[in-house]
Amino acid sequence: MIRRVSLRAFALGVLLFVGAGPSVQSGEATIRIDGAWARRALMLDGSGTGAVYAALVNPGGAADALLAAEGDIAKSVEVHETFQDQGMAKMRPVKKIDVPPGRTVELKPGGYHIMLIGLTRDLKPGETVQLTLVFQHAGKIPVTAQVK
Amino acid sequence: MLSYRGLRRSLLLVAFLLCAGVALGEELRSGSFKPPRAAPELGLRATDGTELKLARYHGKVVALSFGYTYCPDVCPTTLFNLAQVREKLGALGKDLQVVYVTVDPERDSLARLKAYLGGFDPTFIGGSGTPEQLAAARKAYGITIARENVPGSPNAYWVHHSAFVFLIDRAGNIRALLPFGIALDDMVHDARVLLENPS
Repeated sequence: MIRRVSLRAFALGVLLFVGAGPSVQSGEATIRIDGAWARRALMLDGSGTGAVYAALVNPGGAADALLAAEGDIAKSVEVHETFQDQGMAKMRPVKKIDVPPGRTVELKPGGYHIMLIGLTRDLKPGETVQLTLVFQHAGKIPVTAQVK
Repeated sequence: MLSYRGLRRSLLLVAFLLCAGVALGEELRSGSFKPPRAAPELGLRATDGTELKLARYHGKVVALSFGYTYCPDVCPTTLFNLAQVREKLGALGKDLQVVYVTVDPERDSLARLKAYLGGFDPTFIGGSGTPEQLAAARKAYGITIARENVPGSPNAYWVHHSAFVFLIDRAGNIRALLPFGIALDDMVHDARVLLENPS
């Protein structure tokens, strides 16, 4: 009994120490996805590519990270980054995108993006695209992106 | 005392000078070429089935850029922006011709390029040619490319490339270089400056 109580007290102490503030969520990771959108694109012969952008908002007190994206909108859905190198715009896959506590990380043209490789249909303005974003702590979060 | 005709003439002159002043004072927001230099001619095939020559578009402002259809982020960002520039320019936009030259002739057939560009704006013209013709076009415009296999996908590759847009005025001179990432408003602004000035 005493052992149980002290364990709880210890856990509470850790929580207070890590969280440091009244706004701390109860250990649950919270991530919000704002303004998700996809650029208009054609599937062409099934090899068309597209991209989805959004703001990853972490209002909680714990760090999280985007690890992957899933969806049947394309044969392959990956997390990528565009970067500038020697006057060229280059691309590379990223293993994770850190979303620090209290911060917002933007996926936007010319930066981080969800890359859709081998579209299974055309993306036309006004339509929507369903995706699932996979976070290290928050787990799977469904997202509806507006096609612009 | 001024006659009506004289007054009218004076007012017209003032209006003309005001317009000229505005035009002269209107600086480009992106990198500008001073003095302007003649845009190197292209010798390629166009997606409308004709020979792609810039001379065809004298009298129009040309937005020239390089890219490829398998490009997921950079190229569609540029093309999407250029489509919006034409839209935002309203009637003036009709005189802005977008020309898009492939850096990936192996995968970009003219038919594929045409379909791809049509997804943004059906007036966009694509260009392709032999590897030698395309290399010459890139050299003339200082475009560098680098092919890289996509990690984990043995059959896929990227063609990293310079991603700026050249604005060529109605007289066929390169006037501006829009870097990738430039704000849409600045693109519209610079295109408008060239469209509203004869050369």
